Amino acid sequence: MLLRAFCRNVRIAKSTQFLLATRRPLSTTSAALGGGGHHHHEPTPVYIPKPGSLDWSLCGRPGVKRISTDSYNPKKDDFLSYLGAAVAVGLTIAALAVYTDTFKGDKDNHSKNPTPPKQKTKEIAEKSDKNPSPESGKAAPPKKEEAQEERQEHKPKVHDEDKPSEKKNNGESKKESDKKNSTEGSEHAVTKDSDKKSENMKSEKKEEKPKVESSEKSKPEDKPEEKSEEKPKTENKDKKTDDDKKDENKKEDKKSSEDKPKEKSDASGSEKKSEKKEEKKEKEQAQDISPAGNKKSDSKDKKQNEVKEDSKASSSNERKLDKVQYLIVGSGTAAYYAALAIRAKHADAKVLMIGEEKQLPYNKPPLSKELWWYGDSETPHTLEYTALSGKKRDIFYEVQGFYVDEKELEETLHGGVSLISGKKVVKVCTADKKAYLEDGSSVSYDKLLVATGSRPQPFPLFDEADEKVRRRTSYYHNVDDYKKLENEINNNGVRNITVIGSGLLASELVYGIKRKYEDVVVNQVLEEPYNASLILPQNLGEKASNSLEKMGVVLYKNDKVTKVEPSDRQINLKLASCELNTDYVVVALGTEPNIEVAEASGLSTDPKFGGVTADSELKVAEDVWAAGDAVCFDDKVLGRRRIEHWEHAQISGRLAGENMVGAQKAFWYQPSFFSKFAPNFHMNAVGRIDSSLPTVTVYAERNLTDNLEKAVVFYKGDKGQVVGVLLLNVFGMSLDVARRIIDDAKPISDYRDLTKLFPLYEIPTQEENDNETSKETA
Amino acid sequence: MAPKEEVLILKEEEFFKSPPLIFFESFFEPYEHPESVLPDGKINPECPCLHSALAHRCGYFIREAIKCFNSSSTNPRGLDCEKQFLEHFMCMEKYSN
Repeated sequence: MLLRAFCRNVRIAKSTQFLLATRRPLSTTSAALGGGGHHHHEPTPVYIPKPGSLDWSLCGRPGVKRISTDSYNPKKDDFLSYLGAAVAVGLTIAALAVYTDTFKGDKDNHSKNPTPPKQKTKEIAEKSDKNPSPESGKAAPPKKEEAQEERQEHKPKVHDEDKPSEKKNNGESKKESDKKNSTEGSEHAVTKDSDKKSENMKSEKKEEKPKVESSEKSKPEDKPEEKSEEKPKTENKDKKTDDDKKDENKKEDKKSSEDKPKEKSDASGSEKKSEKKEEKKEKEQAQDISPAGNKKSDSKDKKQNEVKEDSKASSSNERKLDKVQYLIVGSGTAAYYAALAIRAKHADAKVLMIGEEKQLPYNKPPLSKELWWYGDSETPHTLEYTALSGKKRDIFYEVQGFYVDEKELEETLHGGVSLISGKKVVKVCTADKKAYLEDGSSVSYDKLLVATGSRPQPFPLFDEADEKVRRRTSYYHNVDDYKKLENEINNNGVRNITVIGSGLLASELVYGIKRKYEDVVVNQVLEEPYNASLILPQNLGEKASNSLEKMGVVLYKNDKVTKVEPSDRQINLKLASCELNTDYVVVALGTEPNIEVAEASGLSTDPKFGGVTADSELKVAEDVWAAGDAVCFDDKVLGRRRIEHWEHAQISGRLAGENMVGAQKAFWYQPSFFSKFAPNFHMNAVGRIDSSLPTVTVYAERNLTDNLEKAVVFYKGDKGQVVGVLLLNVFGMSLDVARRIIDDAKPISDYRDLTKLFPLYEIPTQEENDNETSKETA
Repeated sequence: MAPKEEVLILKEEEFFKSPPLIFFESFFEPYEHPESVLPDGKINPECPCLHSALAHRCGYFIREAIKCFNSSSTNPRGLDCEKQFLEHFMCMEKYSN
C-alpha cells in the first residue's frame, strides 16, 4: 500500500516536471504576455493535477508525508527538525514548570467532583438501572459536554453567586440549567450528569474496556491519575476530569458489594478526619469539595491521603490569600494606622493584617482609663463608654464591614484591608518574601510590616503557682483580661483586689477600679517608694502616691510578694512586710516586646532596648518595616529608643505605612503620652521621660480656687538640653511647645524663663480656651 | 546614685512679670495640623481625617466623590456630584452590617 503511494508520488513528480517543462515556452513573464506589460502582473499558475491522479482523503494531504529539507528525497526524515521541535516543547514545559504554577498541584480543587461520594454511589447505582439514556448514541461531543457541565456545575457550587461559569457552549448550558431547575439541588443535578456519563460510559465501555481494565488492575492506576492531574491543566482539563470521572464511575460500577462498603467506610473515615479538621478551622465553606477530594485521596496511598487532606482541608477551608501586596504582622494600633496610611497613599492597595487576637483591631488605653471612668454596667459586654462630649464610643477602630474578607481581597477592583484574626505568624522568610503562619499556611508579600506589639512581663511566682491561685490571677494586657476582671467583680463577688506593679498601667488600674467600685478594697504592691517611679521624679511621685492613698487605695510601698498560697476562696500573699489576703490579683509588672517572629526570621533585635532594630525611617531590611511597641528605631534628636505608648504606635504606624509606599520620611514628630492615676493628677508628656535623668521640676504656687497642682518637669540630656517634658495639669498648646523645645536641643540655663512658655497660671482671657480643650489628648 | 533633682517654684508675679525672651517665639510656631477643608472650600484629600474612609473597602467611591467635588464649579459646590456620593453611600450601606 505504501509502495503504491510511493510510486504514485514518483509518477506525480515526473509528471510535474514534464508539465513544467511544457509550460516554459508559455512564459508568463510580463514581457511575453502583453509586450512590455509591466502593468500586468499575473501570478504564476497553480498546478492543477489531472483528475484521478491524486489520492485524496477527507483529512489532510496524503502527498506530504514527511518533513524533509531535501526536495529530491521527500521520504528522507529531517531528524534535526524533529530534535528542534522536541527541544522547543521541552523548554516550554520546563518554563511552565519553573515560572508558573501550572504543575504545582490542584490547589483549589477546581477539577474535582463536588458531590459527596456516598450519595453519588447510591444514586448512580439506582439510576443507572432505571433511566434508558437518550444520549447513549453520542460519541465524541458528549465528552466535551460532560467536562463543561462538570465545570459549570462545579462553579455555581463553589463560588456561589460570584463568578458566572465559563459557558463555552451556551446551548448546552441552557439544557443544563433546564435540567438543574427540574431537580431539587445541584447535588442531584451532578448525579444526573454522572448518570448520563455512566450511560455514556456503558455505551463506550466496550470500546475502552481493554484499555481501562488493564489500567484499573494495579494501584499504579492512581499514578496515571496523578500524572494526568499534573499535566498542563488548561489543555487536558477536559480529559482529566473525564478520566477521573470515568474511573470513579467505573470503580463504583465494577466493584463488588464487598468493596463498596469498604470504600464507603474509607470515604466516611476520611470525611470524618477532614470534618474534624474543618471544625477546628474557622471557615467551613467548601465542605462540598473536601469530601469529594478525600474520596479521591482515599484511593491513593495513605501518606498522600494525609498530606492531601491537610492541604485540602487548609486550602479548601481557608481559601487563603496566597499573595498580597502589603502584609502586616499584627492587628493592633500600629498595624491599623499603617493600613490606613498605605491605603491613603496608594489607592486601591491590597493590605492584609494577620493578628493573634481574635477581636477586630481596638484601642487599648481605654482598658485602663475610659472604660473604668466613663463606663457603666453594660460596658464589659458592649465595650462602650460615654465620652465627656456626650458621645457614645466603643474601643474598636472600625466595624466588621470595613474589612474585606480575605477570600475576596484578590478580586477587589480597588483593594481594601483584610484581616486574619486569631492566627499567628511564626516566621518570615525575607529572601523568598513569604510569611509562614502557625497552621502551616503561608502568604507571599511585596512589602512587610512587623507590628507585633508587646506582652506582659511574666511573674514566675504566679505562673508556677497552684491552680487555685492561678484561677484568681491574671495579667492585664487585652480585652479578654478586662472582661475577666469586670466579670470577677460583678458576678463572682470579688471584693478585694491586689495589683502587683508600680508602673503606669498598675497605677492606672488601681485608680480606675477604685474610682468605679468604691466599696472594693484595692491594694497595690510596689517595689519602689512611690508610683510611676521610673517616670516621675521623687517630689512629684510622692505627691501622686499620697493623692492615691487619700482616695482609699492601700499602697504597700517598698514591698514585694515573696510567697503566694491559696487560702479558702482567697489568695494569701506573703509580702516582705506583712501578709495580705485578697480575692483577685492582677500582675502588671511591665511589658516586653514580641520579637519571636523577628528572631525566627533573622531580623536584628536590639540588645539594650529590646525590639526589632530599625533605622530612622523605621526600615528593618529590604521591604521590611516595623512599627509600634516592637520597633527600636533611630530618633535623630533623641537617639535610639523604643517607645511603648499609644500615640507612638499611631505615629510610627502611619510613618511606616507611608514609607512602605515609598515616602522615605524620617521620624520627626515626637509622640506624647497621657496618663492619670490619681485624682487631679492629669499628666501629659513628650520625649524621653526617664526619672534616672537629671530633672528640673517647676511648680506653680498652689491655687486655692481650683486646687489643681500645676507643674512642669524638664528632663535634661547630657549636654544640658531638654530631652523630655512632663506637664502636670497644664494644657493648651503646651505639648507642641515642648516638642519645639526638644527639637531645638539647645542647652538651657534658666528653667524659670523656659517655664513661662507654659500656662502655669491662667491669664483671665485665656481661661475659657483652656477649659474648652479636651483633656483627653491622646 | 540619686539623679540630680531640682525643684523650683515659680510665683505668679514672676510668671507674668518678665516677658518670655524673643527667641522663644519660634517655640510657639504651631505644627501643621492638616485641615479637612481648604480655604477655597475644597475638601483636602490629604487630610488624615479622611484616612479611615479612604481605607474602607468603599474608599474608591469616596475618592471619586471628592475628586468630583473639588473640580465642581457649581455654587454651592458639589451639586453635580450626586451620582458619586450616592454610589459611595450605596457601597457603605452594602457593607454596613
